[in-house]
Amino acid sequence: MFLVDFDTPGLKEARVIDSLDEGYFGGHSELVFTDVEIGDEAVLGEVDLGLRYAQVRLGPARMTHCMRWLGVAQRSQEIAIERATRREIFGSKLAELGMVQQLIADNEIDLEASRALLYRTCAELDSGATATRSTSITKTFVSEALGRVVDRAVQICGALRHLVRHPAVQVLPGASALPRLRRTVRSAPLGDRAARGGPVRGHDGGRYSMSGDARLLLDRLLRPRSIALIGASDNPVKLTGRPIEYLKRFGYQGRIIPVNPARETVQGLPAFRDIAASTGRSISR
Amino acid sequence: MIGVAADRTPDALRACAAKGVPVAIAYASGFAEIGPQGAALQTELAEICRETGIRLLGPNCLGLIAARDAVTVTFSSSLDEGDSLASGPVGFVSQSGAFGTSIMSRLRDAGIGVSAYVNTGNEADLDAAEILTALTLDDDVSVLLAYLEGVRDGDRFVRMARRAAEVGKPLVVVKVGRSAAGARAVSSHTGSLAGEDAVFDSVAGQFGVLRVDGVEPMLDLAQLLATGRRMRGPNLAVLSISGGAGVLTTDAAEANGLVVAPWDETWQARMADVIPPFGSPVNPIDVTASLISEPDLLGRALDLALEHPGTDAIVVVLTNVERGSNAVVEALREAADRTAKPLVVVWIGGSGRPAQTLTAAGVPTYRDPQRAVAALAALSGYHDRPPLPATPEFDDIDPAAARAVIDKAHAAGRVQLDELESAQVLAAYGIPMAAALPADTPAGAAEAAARLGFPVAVKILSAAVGHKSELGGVRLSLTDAPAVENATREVLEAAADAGVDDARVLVQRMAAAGREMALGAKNDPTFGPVVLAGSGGVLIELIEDRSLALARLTPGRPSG
Repeated sequence: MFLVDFDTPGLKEARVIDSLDEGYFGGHSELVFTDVEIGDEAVLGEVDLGLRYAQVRLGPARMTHCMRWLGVAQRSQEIAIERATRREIFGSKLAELGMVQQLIADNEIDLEASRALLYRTCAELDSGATATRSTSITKTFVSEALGRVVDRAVQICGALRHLVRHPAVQVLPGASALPRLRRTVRSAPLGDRAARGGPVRGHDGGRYSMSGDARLLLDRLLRPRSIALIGASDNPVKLTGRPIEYLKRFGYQGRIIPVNPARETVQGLPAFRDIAASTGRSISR
Repeated sequence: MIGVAADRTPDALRACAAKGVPVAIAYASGFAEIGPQGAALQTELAEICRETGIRLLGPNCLGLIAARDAVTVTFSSSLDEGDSLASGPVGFVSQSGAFGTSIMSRLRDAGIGVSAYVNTGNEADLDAAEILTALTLDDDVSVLLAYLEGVRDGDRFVRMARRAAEVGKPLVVVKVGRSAAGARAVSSHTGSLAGEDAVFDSVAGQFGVLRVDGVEPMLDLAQLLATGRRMRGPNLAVLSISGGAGVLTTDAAEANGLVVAPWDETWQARMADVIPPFGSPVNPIDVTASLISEPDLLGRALDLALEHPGTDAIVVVLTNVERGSNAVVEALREAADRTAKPLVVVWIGGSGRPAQTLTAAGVPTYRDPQRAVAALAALSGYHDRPPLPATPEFDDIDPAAARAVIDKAHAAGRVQLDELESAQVLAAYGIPMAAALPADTPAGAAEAAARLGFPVAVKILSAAVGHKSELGGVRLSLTDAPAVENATREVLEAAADAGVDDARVLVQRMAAAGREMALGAKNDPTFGPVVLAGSGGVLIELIEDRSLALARLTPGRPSG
């Protein structure tokens, strides 16, 4: 592990990654080191132990995130309660409406549960354990609880920007888009990948990201919107002719794209010379 | 769908990937199943998938049927007739094509709807476990069936099984290759490796996978699971038209671990009020053949059985009922509608037509008591399955120390550890051993014994000797120095006679009397580290009392 001055020759900031995380000074940079030379005095700790230092830091650092998030969630709840006890609408205070009370109660539950997890995990870390499992659970739960709490607080404050503009809440990823946050984060990962047309695989460096890829697979394998059939036969009885016959008979509603260089049509559908030439658009049933 | 021959399939797959097609299905055979040349072609397909990100089903497969959107990308002749797909709660994945579709048609005949049928064939890319994982997310699917010849990625299979258990979708597996001959046949069929059967068995037990032995048990169980009803315990109420059939069913139930307990007096008295005096209200309950002429009788007896608090499932046993069968069918259907408990019918004789009507109405009906109770026993076992293994963390182990012992043996050209080295490896993982010291000579052994404290054992110590007692290499309960010196001399002589030239002895403090157990571990090529536990001692191979499980184990009850 080294400390390298930013103006050291050979060190270049290739780009500042445009991240949702706006809460860090300087942002997340991609750094390129080209023949950078530094002296012994730049070494932090012992040589060859950098990765270990970084990893030791990971568990507790997760908890500092959680503490920060808990603070933001707590502050959001306070703002919401302040708003709910002051704002009068349709003849009563917001806080007297059952649905608002439920939002506040749900926030209290999320806050209390987050706090309890933090206490327990930190005690585990203090006892010297690595606490991998507990820190993972805590980070996942508290980050999601934060989303829920702020979201509910926004519902209580309505369109007023004063919650969203509050400095505490501004450290949230994409705080300015908070009211829309829920929807966008849910759809972004899959949408992105599909739009790029990039690999959508079950394997990711040996790891298997289960639900996202599996759901994508489910949709693409079992719910395709178009089906091209390479080598499709005009004869509905032949092995390569049957699928089109079945698709028509059982009522498949998507596009059927026969690919057969020898024919103009296959079982009454216009055929394409090869898959590259298929437009998919002209074929509709 | 790629319907061209094997040698043209890779180019077609590349073209699909270039076009942005996300998933392809390759029909052609002529890949890993035919030998090295085909295997090279299959590797090429896998490479294309890895480089481009396209996913591939097959090759050597006959495609898939997904009922919701009528996606019938298959050439299976099972679709030659009809114009609607019998959708339902089952998702079925088969590595074998034609056999899979024959199971499909049997499912249809049994009135079991299938939402998705996927044949994975040679699994160059997508394997059965990955498809099953996707199906655990399919809201239309609540029961998973699989016909497997091999498991391509044990870790993925385990994750899938864990997920299926977590979401409460039972997974019924027929896994072939139990016999060595069967395992050989598998590799020439779809090019899979069958893997060690006992390991698969233990994985199934640990993760709640319902492994059955053939197509009929799979269908029987699927029929029951498809109703969505579950058993909370092993207790059956058996209602029969004939005393004999009731007894046969009861015998079969008890043999399968289910319970047919006599009702207590109060409930017997209530049942006696319902059935004719020549019947039996005990359980099994003989409702008598009067139920044919008095349609009401069966309904009232069933109502009482449904109300009985100690009943987890009801089995109705019927024989030749033809005339009047409509009323019986109706009474059974209505009773089934009134309860959430499993109600199954065993209809032994007759034409079979009423049984078909009942099956179509969603009341599982069997032609043989044995099959009905086997399915119920599996259902009861599913409810009673052990909790999923957690993954504990250990912070008191020292893998580096263990590695050093093994590296040292490797460096000496050995692939077996001697007992002392084994003890060092175990100690690195926090497993205690009786205190022991090595010695080269009788005098050295006596000195070691004095340091350890009597009584001691003297054992031959050599990496070349696996079974020590067969060589005469173990002397127990030695209480003084002369005895230790004598024993050492004899053990070393026995070793020399057996041609062991590097022998020393291990002097070890005697352990207190107790139960001997064996613990073992090995790296399974499919599933990774597997742990064995069982009765130990010199008769270990004879007794064969053992249990296998995937590491890591947590406290709980054994499986498999």
